[in-house]
Amino acid sequence: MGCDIIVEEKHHVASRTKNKYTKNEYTGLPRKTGLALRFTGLWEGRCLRQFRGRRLAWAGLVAGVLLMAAGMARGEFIAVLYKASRICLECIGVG
Amino acid sequence: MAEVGPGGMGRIRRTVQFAALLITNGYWPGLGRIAIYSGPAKGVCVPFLNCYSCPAALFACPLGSLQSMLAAARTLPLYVSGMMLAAGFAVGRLFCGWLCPYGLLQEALALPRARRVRLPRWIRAPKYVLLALVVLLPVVWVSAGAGVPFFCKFICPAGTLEGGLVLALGRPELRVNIGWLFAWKVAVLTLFLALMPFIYRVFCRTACPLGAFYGLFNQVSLWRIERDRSRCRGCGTCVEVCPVGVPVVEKPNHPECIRCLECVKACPYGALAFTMTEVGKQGSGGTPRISNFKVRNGR
Repeated sequence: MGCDIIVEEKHHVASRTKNKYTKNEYTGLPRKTGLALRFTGLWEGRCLRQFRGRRLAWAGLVAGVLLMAAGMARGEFIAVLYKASRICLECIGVG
Repeated sequence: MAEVGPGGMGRIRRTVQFAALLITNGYWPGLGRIAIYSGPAKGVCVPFLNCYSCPAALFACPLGSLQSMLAAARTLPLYVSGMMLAAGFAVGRLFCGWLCPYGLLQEALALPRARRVRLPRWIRAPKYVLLALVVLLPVVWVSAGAGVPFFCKFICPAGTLEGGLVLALGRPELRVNIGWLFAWKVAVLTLFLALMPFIYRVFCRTACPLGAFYGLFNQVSLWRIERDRSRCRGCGTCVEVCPVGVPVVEKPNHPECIRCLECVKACPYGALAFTMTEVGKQGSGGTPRISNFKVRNGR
């Protein structure tokens, strides 16, 4: 009986030591070891399932990209290039 | 250099910020000749403040481009606004925390105690007013047949530092044009430089219209900070490490959050994640009350 308790205690200690670096000591939940593991969304294959929770973001992102493309088609890239390639005295407060 | 948060995110972020600074301002011959780069890359807008009149700048500033195009055409520039929308919907204010060179300067000048300074809520308002003016004034304020790029002309301290001062010091022919406007802009820059050591990212928190714009998307961006309710114990570690005073437990995607991700790294329970997936939906319990938890734990 007493022996069982000792064995059980040893097993518990060993298990705790083993889990020290893999589990959170407060919660017992799997421990995350670095920031890289937090950026897991893309690589867990859950994108499609999670799409519904991010509909607005996806729609906005696509709309933004389409607007960019439309702007470039309208020649705005050249307009920005023209403006940014010259010193704007007024912009820097010298003019 | 400013104190790095306990999560140790500081070193990674600092490396990324320096890399962004070197890439976006990588035209070194321009600094020698005090002549600005005029190659095709200058047509590309970066999603953060980076004055295109800086001799080392390789890319265009979105705010400057937006204002100059509004001023010239009086129609919404689709290219620049589309880029800003896409950036905002993708990651919100992540660019402020990780890429903006002016943000890096502010962090470099900040004293360790600057992170603990909590600003009153009303001080956040001016940047939203400036955002509205950035869009409106170039359209309605017409001078000599063209709209006025109000923010660049009267406020932007990044432009004064990167463009105005460098060009005025390096090119004698420009110095003859210096007048009250330049003096005003140097005064604005000096004010912010004087406050930077004592208030962490004072310009971002009070006057940056671009940060205000991206902040509007923090709640809805594709990648955002998610709090796993089943793991969060409301210990308040995230709130303590946040350098801009965001109530992370209640509102992890607060408009003021610059997404430095110190809170994500510091959370002892792994309850926070910067992710594009929903987490903790199955968890129980709502927002824990930090004060109650601290009392229960004798802290």
